Amino acid sequence: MNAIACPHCDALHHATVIEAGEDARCLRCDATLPVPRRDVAVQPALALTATAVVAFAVSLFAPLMSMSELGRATSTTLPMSAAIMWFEGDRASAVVIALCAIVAPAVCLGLLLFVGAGALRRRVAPAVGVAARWAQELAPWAMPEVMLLATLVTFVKVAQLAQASPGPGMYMTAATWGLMAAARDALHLPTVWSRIGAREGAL
Amino acid sequence: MIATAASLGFIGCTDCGLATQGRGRCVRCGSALRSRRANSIGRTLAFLAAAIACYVPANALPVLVYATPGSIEADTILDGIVSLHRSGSWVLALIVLGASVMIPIGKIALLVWMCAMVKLRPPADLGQTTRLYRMVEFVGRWSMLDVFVDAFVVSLIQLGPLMSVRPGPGVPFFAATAIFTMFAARSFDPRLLWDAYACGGRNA
Repeated sequence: MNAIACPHCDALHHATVIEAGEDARCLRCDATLPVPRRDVAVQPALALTATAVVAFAVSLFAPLMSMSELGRATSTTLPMSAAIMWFEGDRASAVVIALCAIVAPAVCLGLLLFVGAGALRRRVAPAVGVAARWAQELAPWAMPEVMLLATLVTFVKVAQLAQASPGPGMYMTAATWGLMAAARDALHLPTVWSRIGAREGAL
Repeated sequence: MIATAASLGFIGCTDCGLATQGRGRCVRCGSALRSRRANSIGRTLAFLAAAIACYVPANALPVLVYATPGSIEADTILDGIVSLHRSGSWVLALIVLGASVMIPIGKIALLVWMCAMVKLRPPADLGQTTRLYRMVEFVGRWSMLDVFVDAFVVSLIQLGPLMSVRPGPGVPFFAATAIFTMFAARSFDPRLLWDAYACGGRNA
């Protein structure tokens, strides 16, 4: 019998199992507790993760938006904006942007793929549990929703100066956001942790 | 009275939740096991000091420098918000004001208050305070908004001699403020609030 300690107030709870769509809350501080779900469909979750990888890959190469003035047109992508910051002399910001926009989501998605593949087997290897922890720790640093809002603000700012139009990269960033969140929810990391070292036939 | 992991000699893993009597690393997720985060208050205050030190230049220095033939205009974050408002998108102006100006200062104030409560007196409504902590943790990343906006604007407006935009010196300070406040929120251990309550604020 495992016991779960609330990560925010240390209150001890008996480990239980929840159904899909349910949440386990701490009795004392209302934090969401990392308890496993009875059933996690790993294959659909893995498919969602793979789709998120595709959306993310496309979002890196597709132009976020383009603008034209006096017959000249420019467009930008995520890696381009980081590169231009670097060449304009703001190297610190360029590195931060590259980390949050490219490295963190890429590593996070890679880890989720690894976790999903590992969870296909009944007995989950300890390395998968470690990967799941890193996926959770890195999650706040991958911020597609912040970038999406940033493209909207940029759009309005630029529209004051020239004609601007949204590009496919903007939609793909939105897709990455939704798919990544859905994939993380479908894989349900606490369930993966609960199955580490589980014997054949056990939960 | 609810039993805590610490009161029964257990350590709760902050990542996967497993309560064990083991030491070292969590057997399920490999997280370093600590009953309470090491030197939580000291680290949180150090990150907050760094965040405050960066917050001032982030707002005082220009973030975007527009250059057209004959004129150079340097915009700070507040100038940008005013011009967003003037162009009629007051919703976006409010969002940028919230993400860039209010969220960092609000986070810093709330975390300082929480550190003070751990050291000085038990908080009145702990459930509410813990919820506030979760909010602080959740909204932190939105302060990065303006860093992305500036990068996109700079990379988009490269129209050569007609107009060019360069990043101002305020941008890296903005990124640093956001990162330091995120680290500060992560360093703070809300379990200390509950400890302070349990022993009448006399622990420290």
